[in-house]
Amino acid sequence: MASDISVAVPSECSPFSRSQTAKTLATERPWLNLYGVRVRPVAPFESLSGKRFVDPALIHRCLPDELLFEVFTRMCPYTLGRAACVCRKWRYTIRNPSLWRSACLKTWQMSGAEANYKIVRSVYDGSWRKMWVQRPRLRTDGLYVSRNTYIHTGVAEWKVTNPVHVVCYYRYLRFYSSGKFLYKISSQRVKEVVKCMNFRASKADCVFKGDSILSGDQVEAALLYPGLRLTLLRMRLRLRGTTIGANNRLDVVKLVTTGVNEDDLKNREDDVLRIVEGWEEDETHDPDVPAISHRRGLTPFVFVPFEETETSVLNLPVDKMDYFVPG
Amino acid sequence: MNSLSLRIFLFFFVSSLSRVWSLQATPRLRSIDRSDPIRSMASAAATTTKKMITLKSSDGEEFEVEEAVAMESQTIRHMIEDDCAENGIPLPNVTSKILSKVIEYCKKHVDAAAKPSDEAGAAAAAAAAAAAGGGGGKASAVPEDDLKAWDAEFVKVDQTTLFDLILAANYLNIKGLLDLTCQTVADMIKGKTPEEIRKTFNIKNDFTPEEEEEIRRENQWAFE
Repeated sequence: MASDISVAVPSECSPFSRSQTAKTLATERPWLNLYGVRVRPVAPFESLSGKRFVDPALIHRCLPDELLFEVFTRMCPYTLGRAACVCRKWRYTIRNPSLWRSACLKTWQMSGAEANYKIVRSVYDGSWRKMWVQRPRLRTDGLYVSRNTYIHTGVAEWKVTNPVHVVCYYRYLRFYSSGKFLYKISSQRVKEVVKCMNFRASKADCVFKGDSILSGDQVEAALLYPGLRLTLLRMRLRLRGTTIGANNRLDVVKLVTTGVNEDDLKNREDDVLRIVEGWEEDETHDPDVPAISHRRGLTPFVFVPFEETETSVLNLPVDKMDYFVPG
Repeated sequence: MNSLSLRIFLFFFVSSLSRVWSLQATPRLRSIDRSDPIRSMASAAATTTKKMITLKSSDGEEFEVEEAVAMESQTIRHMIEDDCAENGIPLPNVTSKILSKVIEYCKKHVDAAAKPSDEAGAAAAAAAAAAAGGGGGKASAVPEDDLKAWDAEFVKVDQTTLFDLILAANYLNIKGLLDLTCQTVADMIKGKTPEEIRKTFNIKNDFTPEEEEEIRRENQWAFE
């Protein structure tokens, strides 16, 4: 195609331009530098025909990039992840590390800002986005639901020929970035329970508050059941996900109920975990309440985001859903 | 007198609303007696003549607003403080339609900030401390929710107007309006799949199929 470039030598041939003319007279084949380089395919661009590319999106024509970024700063990270799949401009804007830095610092605020900075530098090559995706985190935008079933034999009656019932009950967990969590065990469905899983729940809602701590992918959680006989529930859970960064499954490693006495309660400062720090598995401080490590009702927790609480399959009755959610 | 009433408005604005504003005491206002704002406000209210500022939109229309309302915009505020506002302030980037909406917003927020202070002032002047405490507390609680409801109605506009409001709020540096409008757009994006977002904003999907797959894999965690 392109032949050797020949350029007419200008008449005012100063010593300075002599080397330049020498260069232009030599053959240049810049495309040779492209061999071996993976060039990304570019979407069809209409500027070749001379017409300026008019973006059909009003938002791109009206708002400059800084203001689009301003909008993105007010979205939660899960929405950011979805928005990055919309178009190239959005993907590029969402790559901005300050968005992911604020998300990371908020989610792992219990570790402290300094520790987070150290971790991102040492483990994740300084990329906040990488840390967000790869580091295990407890999701706060929904509920972790564990659906447990057991067989209950009923009384055989006149017309009832099938006295075996499958009873279904749920454990609900809702975590907060501050290290607190809410727990409820109930036979009510997800869509009914989600309304009361917050700090404003009344006593009748039976929602219990506790403290949790996340180290790596292990969650240690403890809560105190109010009442005369002080029972403390300790949970050890392992966080995993169906895909990297999803963090939507919690496996139950251990579920222990144990007793505490008045002295233990005096020492704690609003942190239930501190009461049971360093306790053995079968340790109990109240002889009336033995330490029991439960063996049943330990189905893994499945994460249901708030947007999906109405439509989740976990709402289905037992006869329609007798399988466990995969993963 | 005008600067005195302005100082009082700003004083109560800061104390009654929890929004963060960068207020700098200007040289003109430092001479104000700070010891008894309520009494001086009561006397100021009796004799105040509010200073009006003229704002000129890009299409030549002129809007007369109170100085306090105009000062919601940090851009205009700096212009007034630098004494560039004598012949009216030209705003070549803002059309009259958007400017009227912005003024409506500023007016509403200045009035909402002023109202609890009015009621607190009247109750204190009646020399009933308990009434002032109760009246002041009640007056500031209800307008917060009303204001939020008014804000929600205010942004129920078409996309063009909404984006123009964002641009105007950015140009005029009105933090509250910028927060409100950007949050509205963020809420429009929230909870939608990428295809729905594209439809809402008429965005063209300029990814190639390979890119699309790569992106989807990268962000799969947001969908699970």
